[in-house]
Amino acid sequence: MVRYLGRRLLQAVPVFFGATLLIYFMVFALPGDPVLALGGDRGISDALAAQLREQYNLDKPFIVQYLLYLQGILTGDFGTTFAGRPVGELIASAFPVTFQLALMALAFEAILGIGAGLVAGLRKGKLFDATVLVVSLLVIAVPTFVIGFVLQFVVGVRWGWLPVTVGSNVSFTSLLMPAMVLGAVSFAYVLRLTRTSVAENLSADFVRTATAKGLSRRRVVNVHVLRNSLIPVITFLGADLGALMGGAIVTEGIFNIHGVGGTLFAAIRQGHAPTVVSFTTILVIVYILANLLVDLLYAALDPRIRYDD
Amino acid sequence: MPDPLLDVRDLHVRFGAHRSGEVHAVRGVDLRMAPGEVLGLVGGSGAGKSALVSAVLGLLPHGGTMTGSVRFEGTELVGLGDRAFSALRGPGLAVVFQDSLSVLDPVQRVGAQVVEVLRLHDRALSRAAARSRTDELFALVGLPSGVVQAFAHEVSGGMRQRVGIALAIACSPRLLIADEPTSALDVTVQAQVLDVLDRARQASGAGLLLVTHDLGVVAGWTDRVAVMHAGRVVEQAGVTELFEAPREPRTVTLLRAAPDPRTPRHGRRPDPGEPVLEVTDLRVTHRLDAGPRRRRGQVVAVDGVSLTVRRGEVLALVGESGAGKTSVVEQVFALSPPREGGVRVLGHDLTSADRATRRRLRGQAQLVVQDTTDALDPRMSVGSAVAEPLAVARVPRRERRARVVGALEAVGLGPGLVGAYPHELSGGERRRVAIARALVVRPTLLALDEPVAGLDVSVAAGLLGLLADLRDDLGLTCLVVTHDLAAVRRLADRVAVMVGGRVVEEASTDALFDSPAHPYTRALLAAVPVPDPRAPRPVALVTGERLWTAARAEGCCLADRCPLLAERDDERERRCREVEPGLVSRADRTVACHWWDLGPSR
Amino acid sequence: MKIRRIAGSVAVLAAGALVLAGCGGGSGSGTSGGGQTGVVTVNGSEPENPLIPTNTNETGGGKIIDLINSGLFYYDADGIPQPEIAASVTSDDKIVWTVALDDGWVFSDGSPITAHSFVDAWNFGALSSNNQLNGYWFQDIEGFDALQAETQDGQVIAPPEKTEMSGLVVLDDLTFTITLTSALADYPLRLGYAAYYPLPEAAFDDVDAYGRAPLSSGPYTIAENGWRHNQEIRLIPNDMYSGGRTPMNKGVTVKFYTGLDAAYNDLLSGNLDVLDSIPPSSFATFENELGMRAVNQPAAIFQSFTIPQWLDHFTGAEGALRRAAISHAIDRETITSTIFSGTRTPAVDFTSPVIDGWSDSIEGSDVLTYDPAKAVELWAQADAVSRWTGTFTIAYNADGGHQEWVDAVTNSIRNVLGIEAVAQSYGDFATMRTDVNAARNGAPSGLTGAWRSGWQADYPGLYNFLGALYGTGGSSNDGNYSDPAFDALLLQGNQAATLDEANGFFQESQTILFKDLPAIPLWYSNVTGGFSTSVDGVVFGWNSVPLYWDITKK
Repeated sequence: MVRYLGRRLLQAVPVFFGATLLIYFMVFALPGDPVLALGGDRGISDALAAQLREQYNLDKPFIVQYLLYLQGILTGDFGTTFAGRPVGELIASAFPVTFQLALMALAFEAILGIGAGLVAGLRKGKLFDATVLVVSLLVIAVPTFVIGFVLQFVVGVRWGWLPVTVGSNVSFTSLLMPAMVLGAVSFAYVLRLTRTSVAENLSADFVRTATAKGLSRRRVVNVHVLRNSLIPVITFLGADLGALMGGAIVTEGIFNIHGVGGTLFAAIRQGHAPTVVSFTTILVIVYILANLLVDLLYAALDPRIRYDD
Repeated sequence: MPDPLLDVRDLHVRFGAHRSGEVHAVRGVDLRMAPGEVLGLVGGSGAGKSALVSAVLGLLPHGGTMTGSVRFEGTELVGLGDRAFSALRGPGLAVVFQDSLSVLDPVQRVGAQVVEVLRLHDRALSRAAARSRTDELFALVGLPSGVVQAFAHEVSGGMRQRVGIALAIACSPRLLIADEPTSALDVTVQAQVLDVLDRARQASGAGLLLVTHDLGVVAGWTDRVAVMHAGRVVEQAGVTELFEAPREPRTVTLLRAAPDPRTPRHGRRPDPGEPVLEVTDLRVTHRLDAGPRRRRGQVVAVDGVSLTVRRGEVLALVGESGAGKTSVVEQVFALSPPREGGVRVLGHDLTSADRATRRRLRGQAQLVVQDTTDALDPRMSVGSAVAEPLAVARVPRRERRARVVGALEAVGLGPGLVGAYPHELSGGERRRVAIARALVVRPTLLALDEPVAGLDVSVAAGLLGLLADLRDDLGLTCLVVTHDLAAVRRLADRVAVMVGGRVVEEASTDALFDSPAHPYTRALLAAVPVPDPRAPRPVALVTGERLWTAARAEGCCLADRCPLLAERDDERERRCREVEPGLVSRADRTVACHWWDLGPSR
Repeated sequence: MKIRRIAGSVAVLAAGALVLAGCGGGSGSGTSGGGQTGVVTVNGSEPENPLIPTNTNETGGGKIIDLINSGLFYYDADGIPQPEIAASVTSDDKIVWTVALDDGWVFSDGSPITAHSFVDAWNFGALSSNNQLNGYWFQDIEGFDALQAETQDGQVIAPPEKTEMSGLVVLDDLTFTITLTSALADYPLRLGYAAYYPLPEAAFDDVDAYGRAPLSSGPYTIAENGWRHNQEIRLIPNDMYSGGRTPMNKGVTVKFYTGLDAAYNDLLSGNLDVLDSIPPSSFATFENELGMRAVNQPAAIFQSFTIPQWLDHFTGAEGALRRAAISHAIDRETITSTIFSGTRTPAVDFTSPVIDGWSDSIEGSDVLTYDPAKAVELWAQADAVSRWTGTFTIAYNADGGHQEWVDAVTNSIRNVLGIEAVAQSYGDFATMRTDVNAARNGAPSGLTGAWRSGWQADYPGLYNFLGALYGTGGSSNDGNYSDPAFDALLLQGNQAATLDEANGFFQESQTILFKDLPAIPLWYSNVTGGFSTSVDGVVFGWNSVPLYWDITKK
């Protein structure tokens, strides 16, 4: 087990270098000169442009830029933004809020998705099932930003039940609505996944065996059906954590959350490679860790999976 | 007359399927069982056996309804609430289902599943007491104690069924229902499991309702038999009476179709021609992977097998699951060069054959795989499925239809099925289509992997008849892989018996059946149920099951399980364990055993 | 051994995740400025650069810079410069200007604001090795060139020769002189701009550090721990301020938004007091939703598209005809009302109505009226000179919300003139900028025709819209337009004795632009905004930024 864990973490090392190199190259290959963009419509003098290129190493060949960046990272220096703020500071301010948002979204989709999916799966073909299916279809079909704007306007502006935006007021209440919007699509998938899985397991042989043993339906569902049905759902949820963190940009924009998405987007527009690469790499690492966690959970839930060495 | 244990009167079961309308599965069944009685329930598939069992257990699937009366020890079960029924299942009624991978909860230790049922029905029972009771139960059904901690996927099919029996008898039920308990198991394992079931029943004094399609099992293990057909019980009688003086035509048909390994095959025996398939010293290993690029080890599936199939001959490859039969066939019909050993097909050495040769061979050597449900593309009509190999063989388009119809006729299917899709066919028809697809290119060599496994008795009988006809009419050279010895007797000219990846005996069919030489062959034959209540009950001379072994064992592959073990002194046992017996040929027979000369003990 | 170390790092990572999560949870208890009495909450964005006046050229930072600094002048609601620190700024020849300061001004640390505070700040800003984005503001001062590094092919080949401009001379603590390279009659107009703010001596030790925690010389100062990056900045009145912009409220909290839609919803729900820009998605509805609290008035933003001088068929007499034809072919009224819901005002000159000296009746401005018949006629005349082939394109950057109007303009041209006219889309501003620069310098470029252009005034003067954009060699003259008569009129204007006189020359210069049309004027952007019911006295200045100090909170 320990060896397995060690091996998986070692695998993350080449992924780290590969990801940083690739992303750095993509930012490098972005069209347009980030220095010229700093000047806006007015442009920028040649001397200043040259100075700035030198300061941000933009005048050097790609591979030198990348190696300088790597050197910085290994000494704990993620670089500085065009605004002179250390990228490390940006990371420290953007990731916690996004992480909190993603976790809340994950909790939302897990609790409600599994709950509703379980009931729907048990009552397959009944009214509740049909209703839930239609709702989930709607949630999947309607773009996130539409859901976001509508919820924000109705719940926040009209009814005033929840804060309209987050901004500097990061709290459970203010993040509640964004988390629901962010988790909405995955919620629908979790629901459907759970429903199918439960319905399938209900007709599995071992459920018949359990019933024949004299177990009540409640116990059959709680002990035998649910645990077996959760295995695919857990995999989805784990993989989703990474997706939620990186994919929060739309939600973050709607609710004015100063998280990873917005910062990353701004950095891409500015062509600021150190920020883009650092953020993306952290996302990649989060993704790898989440996947590792899922694999471990998977083994814990399903004895058919073993990582002995 | 004592109160009946089970009293079924005028029971009807209906399924309200959505599109196909209502299915009337059980149509007025009357059935009575006395306490402690063993009743066999037989019938073809679709006769309503399973629906009847489900109804009695209150486990009808969604959409099923039952009317009439089912009384268990006087308690009416029709309309009984979930809570009351749950309390009855276990201590009252218990069931052993047909083995499948998922018959036990895959994510819980098998012991825990037994503990669960024990504590459920006896709330006073402490966890520790339940555990020790589980250990006792496992000992009773012949499970090694370590299995308690195992998960379902870690044990063999036979062991799973033993766990199933332990589960069923845990609360000492008064009525034990076994629904095709051994249909998915090898004959040797079947005999063991049925013995365990019988022992467990006797220990608890329960009545046993044994549902099966295998008349051999019925003949060997039951007191009384009920024959079902089309939702009705058509005949009920004592087992001897039924087999010797069947009254109903349905019963007669059923009995006639039952395969009997004692019957020698009829028909002409062709003179063997030149070798069509020669396998020499073939070794096949499978990798066990712990992850990408990480090998945990390998299992030896085929360990030095040599076989020869001559033109016009049918060779049967028999043996328990995991003996390596299918691996041999897959290696040969992949038509790729073997890693170890040699394969010659129609005189071409696969080790050195070029692509063109292999391509040509592909048209001449056809394989019908075991699971024909999966082997047919559900979105392809029968006609296109059968015609597909013709396209590969570049047969002109205009000739194809005639060839397809011809092939379908050869397997007894009308041209009307050309446009049908696999899901519209029965299991037997699907298998015929698969055979037609193999025959359509007019192969020289045909291999059939378990051609009748999982089929109904009468359907299997029909298919075996068809294969025998094809063999005689077309002069096909066949390699048949099966663990069904009755089918072998009917079809094969020669038989090769495999154990642990090796051939331990090869002989002509009659010679092998009449005077088996190898102890394993003898054990295999002794375990085959015979549809005759007067015949000796099948016995399991070989115990245990072959599990995948990580490496080639020293000595005889049967060394630990050999029925002769008890008769051997230390010196001889040492020889069995340390020296691998070589194949010795004598007359028309080849045997690998150190003690061939010794013969069976009397 | 190896294994244990790896396992250890796992624990560290896990702990790190917990710490991160903890931070996120903890920050929820922070206070938002909106809750405090008397404090006005306004929208904004995280400054993109350190808060150094000479290095802030975007609105997010500029808004804050203006509130925490004082200049020689400040601009009142009408864009008229009012003396702030300056006692007087005078010149006889419009070349040498003498600046006298009021006594008694101090930075928030108590250090006095002297002539050196200005001269040192300006020299710092002009020196190219300091990388100050607003350095070009000092290019008219004598000796500016000596502070610029020499470059070749985008590489610095020689550092600046000097660190101080010869044109700046400190006479005493409260007086200094500015010597310009040429006469500029409107020079005092510019001196209210942020680039000319003074800096304390302490700033130069570590400019980046100063930019993160600047001292104040203006009406407000940053509250203690008031700058929460990416979230908000809290400004409180500066007790030591003694200028004309006396705060009428107890503070201004600038909340940073990632998008205007969120800010607008906050305004509607009362979580934001003043919004200085309405999101385009609400253009059609905001005046209904806000009623009297909606603001929609022209701003000092001029929009056009530039047809470069090097484009085939657009030079000489033929070019003038074609340019006029294209201008006549654009239905500005319809486009501004349908696409922009009235948040743009059709242009009638090359400047902006909010600038002192603006006129709507400059000779030749009728070329901006929609007249399809005239357009077709002019185009035909041009075709008589040389037959038109090909496609007329207008480039735009897709990240700026320009697509719709560029499509509308090209449609209008195509429909009226019957020629192929299409939009040329660039993914972002930087990419378009790169191609424009390349084309301007004669390098290979993907640019196929005209491009969208615009100008937001830095200071409220007509010259600001004309000199850099159309003067020969002007820093933003991307189309390489050059006309001696035009240059001469600009020079006359700059040498005029009074501002009014100067404006006369500048307006006259536009008559030449109307003939040559180096760029086709389209419209002026309006400033759109709104405020909540809990504030009063919201007035938008000439630069589209509300006069925050004047706002009172109920």
